[in-house]
Amino acid sequence: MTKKLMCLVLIALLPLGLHGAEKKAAPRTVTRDATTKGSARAELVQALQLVKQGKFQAASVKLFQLSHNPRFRDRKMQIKYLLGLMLYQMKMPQVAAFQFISVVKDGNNKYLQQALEKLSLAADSLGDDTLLNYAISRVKVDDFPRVHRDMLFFRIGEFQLRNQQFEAAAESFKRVQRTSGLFPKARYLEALAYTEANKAKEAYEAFEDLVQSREQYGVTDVARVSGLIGQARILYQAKKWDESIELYRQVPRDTEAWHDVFFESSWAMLRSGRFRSSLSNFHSLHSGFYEDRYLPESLLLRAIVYLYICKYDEMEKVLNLFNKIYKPVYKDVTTFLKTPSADAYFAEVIRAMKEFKEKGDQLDKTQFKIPFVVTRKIFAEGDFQRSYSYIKKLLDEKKSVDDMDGSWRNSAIGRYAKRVVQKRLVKARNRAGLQVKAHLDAVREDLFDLFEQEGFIRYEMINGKKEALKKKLAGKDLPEEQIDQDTQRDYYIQNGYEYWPFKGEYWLDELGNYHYVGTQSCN
Amino acid sequence: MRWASRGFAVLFVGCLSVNGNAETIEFPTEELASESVLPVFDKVENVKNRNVVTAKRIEVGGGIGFNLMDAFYNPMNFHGSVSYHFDEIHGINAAAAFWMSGLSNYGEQLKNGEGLDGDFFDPSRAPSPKYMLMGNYQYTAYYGKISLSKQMVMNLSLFGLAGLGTIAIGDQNKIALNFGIGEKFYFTKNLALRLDLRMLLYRGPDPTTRRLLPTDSEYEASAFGETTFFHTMLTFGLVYLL
Repeated sequence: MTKKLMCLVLIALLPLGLHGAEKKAAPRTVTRDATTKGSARAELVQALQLVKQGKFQAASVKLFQLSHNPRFRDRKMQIKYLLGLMLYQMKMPQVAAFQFISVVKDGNNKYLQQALEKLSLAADSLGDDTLLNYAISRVKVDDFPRVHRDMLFFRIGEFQLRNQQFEAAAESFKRVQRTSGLFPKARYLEALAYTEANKAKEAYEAFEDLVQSREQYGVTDVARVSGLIGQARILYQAKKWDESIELYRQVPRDTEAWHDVFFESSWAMLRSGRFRSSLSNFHSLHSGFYEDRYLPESLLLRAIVYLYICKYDEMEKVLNLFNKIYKPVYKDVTTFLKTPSADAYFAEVIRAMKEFKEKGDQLDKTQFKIPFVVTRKIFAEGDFQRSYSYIKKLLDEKKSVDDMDGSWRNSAIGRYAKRVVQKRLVKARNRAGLQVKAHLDAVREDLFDLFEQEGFIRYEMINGKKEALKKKLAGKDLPEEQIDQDTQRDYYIQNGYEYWPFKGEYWLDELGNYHYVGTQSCN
Repeated sequence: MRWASRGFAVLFVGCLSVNGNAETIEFPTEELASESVLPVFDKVENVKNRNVVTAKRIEVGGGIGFNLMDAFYNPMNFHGSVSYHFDEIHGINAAAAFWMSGLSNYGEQLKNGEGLDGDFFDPSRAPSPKYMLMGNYQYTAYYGKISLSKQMVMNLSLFGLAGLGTIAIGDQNKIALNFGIGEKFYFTKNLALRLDLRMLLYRGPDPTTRRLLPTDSEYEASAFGETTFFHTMLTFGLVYLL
């Protein structure tokens, strides 16, 4: 279908080109110069015929030659534009984008709007921020084809969001139509932009609308779940703990987001004084299923809950565990941050994730220079994911170039395409590497802060222990027998529920269903 | 993370005012399990920190078994086994079973001529299985747990096995095949009750191919025609993980 449309576009362009060539050739007299012109015209006609016939490879070779031929200086933009179209059809959006950029940079030609449109599409398919920014900054919305306007508004919104123009971003996202495939993302980002602009009411409404608009796609729909989480976070920020917990609870367990939600809801539970509930959550979060996840804060939070209920021994265990896990992480991150090469950061993350994908839990995680918990965290970061996705697209394009037949590969356009993709790959890897470095820096700072917090919490623990000891010496301590020492737990079991005592092993189907059955020990 | 730090600070202030007494434990209904779906992970693993670890470990055991389909001879046998688990799923198993001598109840009745209208059939004159040695591949298909009471939870595993070996019948040794399923109920992390239900297949002398009188001397295996036996064995035993 695309190919057919493409041909129609090209056929429409073709007469214009030929007509133009004829018009310029007409008044000349028959001289040697005219012969040259005639041959030039024939070359162009030949190239356009190839375009018309859908022979993209041959056409691209010819057009590339013509684009560098001074005889076609006055047709250069047309040729570049057509070359871009050919390359786009040949699944080489990056190389194609460079041709469109040339047309856009020239500025004053009749292919400008078309080139901008195609450049936006190529940039959109590549997901490259730099290209997108470039295209978007030059596009006039009204001149952009209606069929692609949702994409344009969405990308403009993203651009504005990155530049902290939150209200303008929200407005752009709002212009994405409900029928567009980009609507769920746009609505989510619109709500996010409102949140950043401190417009909680508008943000909540946007999230709510997103949730409602996705009801028909099932409870696990990613957009719906994202909307729910957004609502819950707004309520949390508004200190409406119980309401936020209720919304967090609506996030289905069989979604990727559930893990983060589970931790966030623990905060809300803690803030609403539901210590038992938060400890129940921590039992899941600190199980072996999460040993590869970066969750230092959750350990400190657990220690604080123990502090609340005067479980100093448990608290000390948790704090010791925090130090045992995260001190080496801090050390390794600090050491790795001395690496000067940006590419080494990217390469290390990719090596670890690739091996993890292949070997799963059998992977020896000690072999990596960046602690694996940190690698996983960075790999999931949005900016890194975008860069990684762009790199994968470039690799696909490189493969497309390598898969072309030898004559094309050895032609000028083939060599040029290979050089362009290779250069972009190097740059993209470096950029991704710098992103990894920035995240590692953030982790180091985060851990530094948390170690400080750990010190305060430990101080509180020692203080609590001291107070308890004082009371004991004064004979005001708790009686020997406490309710949580009672082994009769019948009252925990309600009709319709089963009770399985925890015996040290963690089961996937039990995650999220653990319940802390101890009581507080404060006197 | 700044919001986290602020949160910690707020919690500290709140913490100073906390003081309470022991309380009765009640769970809000909305916090009790309501979903039957599983959390999503990159790599699905059903259990972490498992109580019973079998990978790279040797398991020894022994017990008693019954041949459920032998009409003539004492169905009871004693067995011993050694297994090595390559991982939590795959393993090999070597087993030996020794049959008790004597006849089954039916064998005794036939020997006494009951229901034979004055004739006799004494199976003890024919050779019977004495022992069996088997080498098996063992596949653990399931590891789980079972709640037998409110406080008692037992781990269990379900496995299948199949292998080849030899069975001694009288003065002959015959090739035998066996396959079956079994279950282990773990009392501790190392000790388990093992139940096996196996099918045993071999060709051997058929005692019914000749008349066997109580006055006859014991015949050699070659004196009988051969047939294919398909027996079901049920065994119980204890196993211990070393």
